[in-house]
Amino acid sequence: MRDLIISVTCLLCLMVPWGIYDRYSMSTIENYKTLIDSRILPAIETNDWPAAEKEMKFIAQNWDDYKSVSAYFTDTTSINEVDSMVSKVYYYVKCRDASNSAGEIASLKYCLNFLHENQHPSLKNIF
Amino acid sequence: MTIILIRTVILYFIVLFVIRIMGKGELSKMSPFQLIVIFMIAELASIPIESPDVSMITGVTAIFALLFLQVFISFISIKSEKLKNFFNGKPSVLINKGDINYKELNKLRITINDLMEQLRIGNMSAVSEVEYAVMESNGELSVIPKARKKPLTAEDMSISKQPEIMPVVFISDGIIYSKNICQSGWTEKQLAAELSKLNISDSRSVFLAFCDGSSKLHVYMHDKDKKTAKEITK
Repeated sequence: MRDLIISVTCLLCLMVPWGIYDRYSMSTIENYKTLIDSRILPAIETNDWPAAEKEMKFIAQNWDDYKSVSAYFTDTTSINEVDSMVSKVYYYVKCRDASNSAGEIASLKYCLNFLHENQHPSLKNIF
Repeated sequence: MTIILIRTVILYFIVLFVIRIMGKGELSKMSPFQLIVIFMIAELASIPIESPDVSMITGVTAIFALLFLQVFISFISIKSEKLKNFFNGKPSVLINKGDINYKELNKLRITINDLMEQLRIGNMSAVSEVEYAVMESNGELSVIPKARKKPLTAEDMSISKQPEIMPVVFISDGIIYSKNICQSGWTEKQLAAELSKLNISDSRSVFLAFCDGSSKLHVYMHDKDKKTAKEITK
């Protein structure tokens, strides 16, 4: 009985933080996607570079916090991929390069989605 | 490099902890499930060590999941005979009252040569010497010889013997195990008295002292070169 309690406790010690991270990840990624769709992309299309830069700076800074937590739960290859994309988009926006910014940010949105979806339990991921 | 070193140390202690929680049965590989779990744990522990980009929590989660499953299955196997047979299998009687159970041999896909080999490993030179041979659920063959082929015991010759006590180590590498001394009915004073009869004044110089099943003390001391240890007798 004691061993059963210890094994359940060990499992819960990992699953509960993972559950909390999953919720945090979902809300953060949704927030990023909303910002990209509703503010950054329209700002790039209308050449409103200060607004685009401001929103992108927020994502870049917030991404650093998200990255430091995700490192415990996600493989570093995926995180590094998104990290490099975030940097690219930020500097394209800063350089006011419309075509590259738009392309990269659309790609970034999909990568962020996969980052979360690949960790989420689903039939597709299990099998 | 340093990351791999640190991960190896952490995973070593995690695997040690997991094997300890699983219990002594795991170390003796008692059932197919336990064997599979050991292999899987080894494999899972090596993945985060080999690949620093893989999250360590992923590997540890898998190991803990196996720990939970193993302990849970062991726990419910104790509670239910049906589940125990489902998970561990039932022992199969291959030789019953001296007769070979051909049907059971076929079911287990064991040839007569395999059976003979196992009997020889169990110190039985012929099938005719065996009363019962049981293939246990861990794959080992238990052999019970016929009564007339069993070695003689004191009981057979109506010789009365003192009950055996568990042999325990009293001193190992100079360290005294007081609990073991009490357990075997001795006292530290008695031990010191016995050692002084052998001209040993300091118990820390003793390499090994143990009490055998008939409560007799055996003492081993290093030789001058400290290469071997010999038993000291009166």
